[in-house]
Amino acid sequence: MADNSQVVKDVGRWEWSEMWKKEDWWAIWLGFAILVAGMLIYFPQSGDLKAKLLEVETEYAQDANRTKAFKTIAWYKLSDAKAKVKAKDSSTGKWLASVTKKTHSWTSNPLDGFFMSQEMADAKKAKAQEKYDKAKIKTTGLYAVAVAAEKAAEVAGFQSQTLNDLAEKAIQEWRNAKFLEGKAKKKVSSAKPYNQVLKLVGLGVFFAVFFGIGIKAMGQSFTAFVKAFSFIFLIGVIAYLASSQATMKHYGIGYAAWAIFFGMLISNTVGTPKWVTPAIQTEYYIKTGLVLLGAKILFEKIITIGTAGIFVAWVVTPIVWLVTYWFGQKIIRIPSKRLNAVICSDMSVCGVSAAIATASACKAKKEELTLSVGLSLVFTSIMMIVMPAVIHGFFPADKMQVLGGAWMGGTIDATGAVAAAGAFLGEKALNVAATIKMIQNVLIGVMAFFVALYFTTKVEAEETGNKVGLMEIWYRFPKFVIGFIMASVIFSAIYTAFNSQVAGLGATMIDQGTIKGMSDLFRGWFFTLSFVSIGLATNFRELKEHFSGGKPLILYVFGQSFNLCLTLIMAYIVFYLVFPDLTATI
Amino acid sequence: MDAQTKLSKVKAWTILLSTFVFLWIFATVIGPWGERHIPTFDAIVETIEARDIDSGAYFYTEIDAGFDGPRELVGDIKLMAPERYGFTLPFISGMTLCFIILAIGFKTMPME
Repeated sequence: MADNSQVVKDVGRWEWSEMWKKEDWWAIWLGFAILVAGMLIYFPQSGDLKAKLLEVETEYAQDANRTKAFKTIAWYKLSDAKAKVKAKDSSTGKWLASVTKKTHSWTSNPLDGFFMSQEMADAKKAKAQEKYDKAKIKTTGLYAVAVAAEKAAEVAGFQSQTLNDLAEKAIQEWRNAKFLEGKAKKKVSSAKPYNQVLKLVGLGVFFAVFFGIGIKAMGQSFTAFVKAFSFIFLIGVIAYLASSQATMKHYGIGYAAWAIFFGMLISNTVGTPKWVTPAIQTEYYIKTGLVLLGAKILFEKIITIGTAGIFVAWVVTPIVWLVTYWFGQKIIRIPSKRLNAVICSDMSVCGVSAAIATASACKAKKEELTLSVGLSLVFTSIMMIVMPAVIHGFFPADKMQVLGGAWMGGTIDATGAVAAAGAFLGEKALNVAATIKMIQNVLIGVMAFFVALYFTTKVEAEETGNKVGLMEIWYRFPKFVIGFIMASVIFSAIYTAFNSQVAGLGATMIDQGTIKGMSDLFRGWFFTLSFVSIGLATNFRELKEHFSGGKPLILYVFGQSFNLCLTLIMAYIVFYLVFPDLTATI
Repeated sequence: MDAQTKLSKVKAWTILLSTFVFLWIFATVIGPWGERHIPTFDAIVETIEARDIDSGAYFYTEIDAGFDGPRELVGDIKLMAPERYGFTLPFISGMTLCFIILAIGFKTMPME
């Protein structure tokens, strides 16, 4: 994003010292340090975990594949057994998860976010145990029904459509009950006393030193930074505390919104203390987080739902982006191209994460990112409630799950809200919605590169009045995007290489290893720190100026309306007209 | 001037602290009331609680469904229509179309 105190320089001259003096490069070094640490911690286990997966395959595979008519109980047992093999379940992985944990859930007493006594834990456990016992009885009953139904279908050689459908339904009911039993069991096992305070203090110290190294190398005061960072980190913890409150979770108000809100609340009331300024390093934190985000953009994942998914997620999205951008420039004449681009990304791609990547790629102002994120979060909460109701009320019953799921996945901005809305409709809707959203998440890499290239080669050239040569493009191109893309390419290659050894090893080592067991533990914190910094440096008056007669709101509403129409039409065409055989498998 | 600065400091701290109090009231009273009275919202809340969904999540790796959903769908396709899985011609066409659309946009996006 742009730093208002800097003047854009026209001189494109590459200096090697940039690699240890510039923030973009430090984001790459720090981001990759975490990713490499994750690889060093988890990859040595790959041999043992591969052996475990092969063992599981030997035990279940034959039985699992004895029919193609439907997914058998054995198929699910194989899938569940493979899913249980996770690199992050090592002792180091568990320790990392425990020391980087944010605040715990709470309802009315915010201190529950930090402490739970043995007495409270025992009471919570007893309550959870009761629910778990009930869930277990239900699952056992449904399992017996599923076994009987499957046997009946097998006796008919899996040739009877009626018996196959009955078996499929019975197995799905067993699966739903099993899933809820698993969640109930998790609540029992997690009902333990805790004291998060010391761990949070330790984590804050670690982050202060981690980021302080780069600060020192860039020529700023390490001591001043560390002192200031304590304040930023404290506000970040408060943001997580707010996001973990039960009601706020129900309304889908996440940590990013709270971080900006509390930052702005402080800066526009009592004022941001001057001694905090050295740690207000929005771009530094955000770019480091983006390099970690890059490692989650795994290209193999886009083939998940096949051709239907790629048309909904990768064809509709750029059309919506470009049409909305054109509308913003030509019709409502948004004064800032960067604000236009950030709103287009957060509305058409996938909300806050896309907004962050785009804002950094086009060097948008912090107020422009704040406005985009605010618009996205308001409409996300509304759509999360309204869309399932519309689908339930107006969609034909046979189209509710797949078409409804695809529609929500392609239009609701935030992944969590997509999951909540999808789960409300049903299991299939949840699976389709979450998968479409995941494929859109992968598009962030493409969009960030496109935006960076467009703004570097065209917009900035027009703004400075100079035609840009290759060296100038290299000089101006946001370097962290290179780190972001490199992380994506490297981890995509490793993911595919693991999967070629044995199916599921990529998920075991990358999804449930370097991502869930390392990069995800830190990325959320880094984005929170950056949003706190944005809030602390934002003035309500400056924000109001960017709202310029409600144009951003009009742009968002137009874009989202177009997105809703086009996504629905495309989803119907690909899932029911062009690839109905693919849809029949879901 | 001192009295004015003191007053504005008092006002600032009052606004700050009362905002926290309001948030707590929203979290414990107003919000739950809304959940019970907005149509379908209570059912969505029940789903969120039962499935332990983080509805404030921003990226697919932050929710279980981000992994479970794709695994289910890949299983469906690989079992029942394996010829449809992978880099098939229609799939590659979809990806190529995405890049063509972006390339057209790159050339034609309005500069003013």
